[in-house]
Amino acid sequence: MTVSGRFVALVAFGVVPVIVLGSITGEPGVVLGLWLVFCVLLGVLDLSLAASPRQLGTARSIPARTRLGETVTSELYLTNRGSRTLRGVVRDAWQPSAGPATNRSRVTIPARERRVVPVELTPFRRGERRVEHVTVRSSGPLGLCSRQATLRSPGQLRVLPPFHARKHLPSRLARLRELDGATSVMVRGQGTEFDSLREYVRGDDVRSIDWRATARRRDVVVRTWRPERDRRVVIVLDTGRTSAARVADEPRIDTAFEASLLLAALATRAGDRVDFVAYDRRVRGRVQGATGADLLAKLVDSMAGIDPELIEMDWAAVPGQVRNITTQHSLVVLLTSIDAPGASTGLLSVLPQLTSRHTVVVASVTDPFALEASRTRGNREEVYLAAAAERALLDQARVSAAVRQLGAEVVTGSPEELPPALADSYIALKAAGRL
Amino acid sequence: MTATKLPTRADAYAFVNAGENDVTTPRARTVARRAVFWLGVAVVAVIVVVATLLLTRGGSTDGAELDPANPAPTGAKATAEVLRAQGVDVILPDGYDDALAEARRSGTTLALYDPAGYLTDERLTELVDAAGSTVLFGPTFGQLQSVASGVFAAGASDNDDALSAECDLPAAERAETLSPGPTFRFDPTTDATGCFPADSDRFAVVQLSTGDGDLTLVGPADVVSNDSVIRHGNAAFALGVLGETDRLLWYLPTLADVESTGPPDIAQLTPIWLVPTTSLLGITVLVAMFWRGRRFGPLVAEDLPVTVPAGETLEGRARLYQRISARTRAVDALRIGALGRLGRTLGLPRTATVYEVTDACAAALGRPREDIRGILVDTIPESERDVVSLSDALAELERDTAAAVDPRPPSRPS
Repeated sequence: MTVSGRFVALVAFGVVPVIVLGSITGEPGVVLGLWLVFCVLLGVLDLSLAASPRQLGTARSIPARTRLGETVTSELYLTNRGSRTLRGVVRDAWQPSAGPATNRSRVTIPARERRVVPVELTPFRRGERRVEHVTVRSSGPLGLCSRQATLRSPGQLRVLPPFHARKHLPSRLARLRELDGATSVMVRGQGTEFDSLREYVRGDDVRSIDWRATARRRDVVVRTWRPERDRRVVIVLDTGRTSAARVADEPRIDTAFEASLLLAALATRAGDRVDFVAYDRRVRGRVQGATGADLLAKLVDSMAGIDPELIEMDWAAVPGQVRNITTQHSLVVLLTSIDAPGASTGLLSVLPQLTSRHTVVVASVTDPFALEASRTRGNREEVYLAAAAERALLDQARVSAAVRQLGAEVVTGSPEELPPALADSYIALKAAGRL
Repeated sequence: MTATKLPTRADAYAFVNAGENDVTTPRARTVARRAVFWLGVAVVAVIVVVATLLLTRGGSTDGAELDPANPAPTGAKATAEVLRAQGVDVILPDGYDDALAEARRSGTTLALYDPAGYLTDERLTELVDAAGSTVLFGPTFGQLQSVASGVFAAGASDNDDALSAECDLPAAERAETLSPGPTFRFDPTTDATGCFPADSDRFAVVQLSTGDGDLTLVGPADVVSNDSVIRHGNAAFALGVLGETDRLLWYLPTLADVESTGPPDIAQLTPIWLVPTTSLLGITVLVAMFWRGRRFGPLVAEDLPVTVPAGETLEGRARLYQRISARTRAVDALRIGALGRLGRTLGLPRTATVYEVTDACAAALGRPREDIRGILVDTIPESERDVVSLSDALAELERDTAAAVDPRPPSRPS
């Protein structure tokens, strides 16, 4: 039960009879008491005439999933099973991060009818956004008092990572096609595969002329090559405590998601098999054996629910995880952070195990703030900040050097640069035939 | 909920239907059942408090002196009740005006006790004149002056023995004795009767004849009190004096009977509706608080992620350097960074030593080796100013070297 502003106004209006009638009769206290009794009686009458909110049946229609930053409409269906028309306000109690445009709507539901209450949702956090209940305030015909009840009506909306990096996909796919046998202008390496023979056209590399075939055909014939196919790419994502840090107001883990989505989209188009595992001390998400559009759908779905865990990454188990996925030679991409020599000991200790069997790329987000701070030296505070930034950059460089020494590639970049940089590194490795 | 009316939607939409009785708000009945224990506790507490008050009030000694409604020892309920039982109509007036109106009715005896002197002389005289017979208990000096100018106060009787009547007043004759107390002396020329003498010319009771009745002055006022009415002949005297007529006006003036003088006070100036109106506004505020404070359903809980800015460790380290004045360490960090960049600018291999870099730098800039070495290696900063100037020198060195190696104007100053 609750009262409305109208009821408050009604009580306050009692000032008039208390002064006027009180002055006439000489008993303003009695008038006050009578007025209060009148207000209460009117309120009780209004309350007893209000439709029962308990008689409502609820149903929901929610899109199963949406990308972060997009707006969807969730619909709440309210069925009045009672015999009176329900007039009132409905609060659809979505979590704040589901971003409801408004969570209060005025409804009028005649007896035995159903009405829909639409709610525009613009989620601003990834993951499962939930709604547990609906609260209904049913006001009486005078609008003085309302009956209130909370109905359980669970629902959920899965918010997927936004994949902003897909804007880089067309250009990277074009570069991938350049590698393809359509042109013979390409780097020859041990990993490229012989594709076919075709007639020489001007501009072809004379070194690719196949003299034996030329002799057979009495026409100049060149060999074409195509990049290797059906290789394996294993993306290992570190969801430990360092992935929670925000770089340029984006958690490291979100940048890692963007980078792995772009890499997976690229690799699956290039005909490689992509497997994904998110790990800290146990597996937080895993996608195996999916290809094409299905791969990206499964990846985003798996990533939606992953949040950084405030525990240390267990690097010793990572080779085992990779071995579970494949024993073939493959490209292992470790999305983690390389900050300080102390924090990277675990990574450095297991790298030899991985590099002995696989091609390894360590991708890490760098903080553009550190670079900027190392260059700003206006006053004393800024000089000390620059010194600390310089020290951080040196640490990073030392860890990168150690990683390279152990036979792995290092890709670093700011949150905007890392996904395309990782894609470029993949293309370069593919062109060099190192997959 | 009928299944036929469900909206048809693509598979991407999840459809959830709540159950029949999925209401989490408890019914009023349930709330009442849960609250019944505490309501019971409250009722019992109220009963205990009320019972305690009722039981302890009987023995209390407060209440006005000689009040006919006061059962305490100082009250006069016993006398009043006996008078009532004898058929005397005991009237308790509400105030002076009421008392005056009652006194004017014929056949009324006025019993007056005003030790604090609330009534002015004029009011007292008016009241005594209006009444038929008057019994004045314990009159003060002023009261004697105004109503019986020939009678004077003569102090308390000397000993504690009861006083005997020794006069022909019927009530006094019946009583025979009276408790001792204040006495009067009177001018022998006045037409007065003295009873209960303490010695030759001092009397505890003096009766004067006025126009239409008697004025009886009783020195020991407590003869009618509950405590002493049973002593000596007090009861007989009191009943005799007060029960002469069918109506007894028992008047005890209070503070409210003091005549006000000067301008009207604030209470008289405020309109009568002021207090009810302000209480109504208070009630309105309470209702408004309920209106705004009533929560629209339970709060929604949500786990929020921790926010860890990556630059936090960097800033922490910078503040640490500054607080402990780690000047050399800070400058060395800047130097190592600068050396690395200078080496790359000058095209030296990664394995080049510090002195190779400084020498190459000096050669490129055409500056003395010692200067460059001082900036890049040797100078130890002694003060904060040195730190800033070394930092500036390093930045300048990098800029100059870049310019010297690449003579084109730099596209962007670093």
